[in-house]
Amino acid sequence: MIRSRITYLTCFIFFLVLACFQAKAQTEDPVNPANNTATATLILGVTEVSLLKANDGVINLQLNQRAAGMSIETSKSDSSARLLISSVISTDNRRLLSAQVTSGTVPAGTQLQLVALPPNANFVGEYGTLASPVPLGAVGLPIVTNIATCYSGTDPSDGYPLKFIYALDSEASYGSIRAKPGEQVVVTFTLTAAQ
Amino acid sequence: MIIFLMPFAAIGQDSRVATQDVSLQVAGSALLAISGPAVNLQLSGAAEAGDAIAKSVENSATRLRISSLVNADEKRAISAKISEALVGTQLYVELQEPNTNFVYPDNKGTLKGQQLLDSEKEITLVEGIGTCWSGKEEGDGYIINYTYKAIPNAPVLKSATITVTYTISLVPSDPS
Repeated sequence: MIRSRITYLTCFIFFLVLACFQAKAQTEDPVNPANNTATATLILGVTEVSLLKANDGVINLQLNQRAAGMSIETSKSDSSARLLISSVISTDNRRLLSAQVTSGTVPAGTQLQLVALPPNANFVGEYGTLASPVPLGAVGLPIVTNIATCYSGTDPSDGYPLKFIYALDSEASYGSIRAKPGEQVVVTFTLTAAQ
Repeated sequence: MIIFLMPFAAIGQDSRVATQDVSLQVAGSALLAISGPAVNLQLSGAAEAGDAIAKSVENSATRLRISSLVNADEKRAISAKISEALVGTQLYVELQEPNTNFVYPDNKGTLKGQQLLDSEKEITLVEGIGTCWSGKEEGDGYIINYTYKAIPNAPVLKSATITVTYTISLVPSDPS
């Protein structure tokens, strides 16, 4: 008696579940969906860009002698170099441009400073925040910060003008200066994501 | 003489005229579907320092199929909306002339030209659509032309995977 009731109950539940599945199938007609909308998925991509190029010319900075009784020239500067840039950022993290000496040594008693100047009107986008002149050494220091999506153009006068200032080191003894003609230093620029 | 009078005999009696009410109905229909490959729009980067990135890129590989059946003077319109706001870029879309398989081309509606898509509101792409259908062979349907552009001087350009939803809807007739 009990076994037959269990069998009856099992059959009832089975047919109930089957009926539920049939009811669901009737509400979704895959053959003829009455749909007045259509969707398209699009992948929209923007390639990140971080490119730099300095013009090839060699910059010659020489502190020359003056009249007897005077020090050598206290500073010389050159603003002929240009640094071209193309940057595309994809987050709110801006880039920074740093510079460092990667080859050669700045002669003792002197200092090589660098400052980036505002680029010309061909520059497209925000060129960032220009730092004050920084002394160049083996450790990279930022010369431009807050760089967003931009490009400089590629004409000879485009890009950040780079002003190199070669001067006596005010914190060093004048007596420590040694004549050393032709010391060549290489300055490397790096464009990185802001830290 | 016996006469049987049968009044019920008049029921169902044939005459020279017969009438029958027949209800004729045409179900309104408004269906859209996208066909074609996945759409990937990439603003490529600069090759050399100082170069600009690509300012825009286009894609016309997909089609928007349609079946529209309207009653009387009803007209329909197709609108589109994107699923999220874009950063530093814009997505334009233009529905262009379908091919010759389009049936009742006079009813295909007025193509509104290139439109900037928005995530906040529906943008109308075609209006004045009557009864027509596009066919469903490869290449049938309105040509969907996407143009993906960088906003000039935008500080940040972000990539995204978005959904464009096209909707066909009935346009209320002008009461005048």
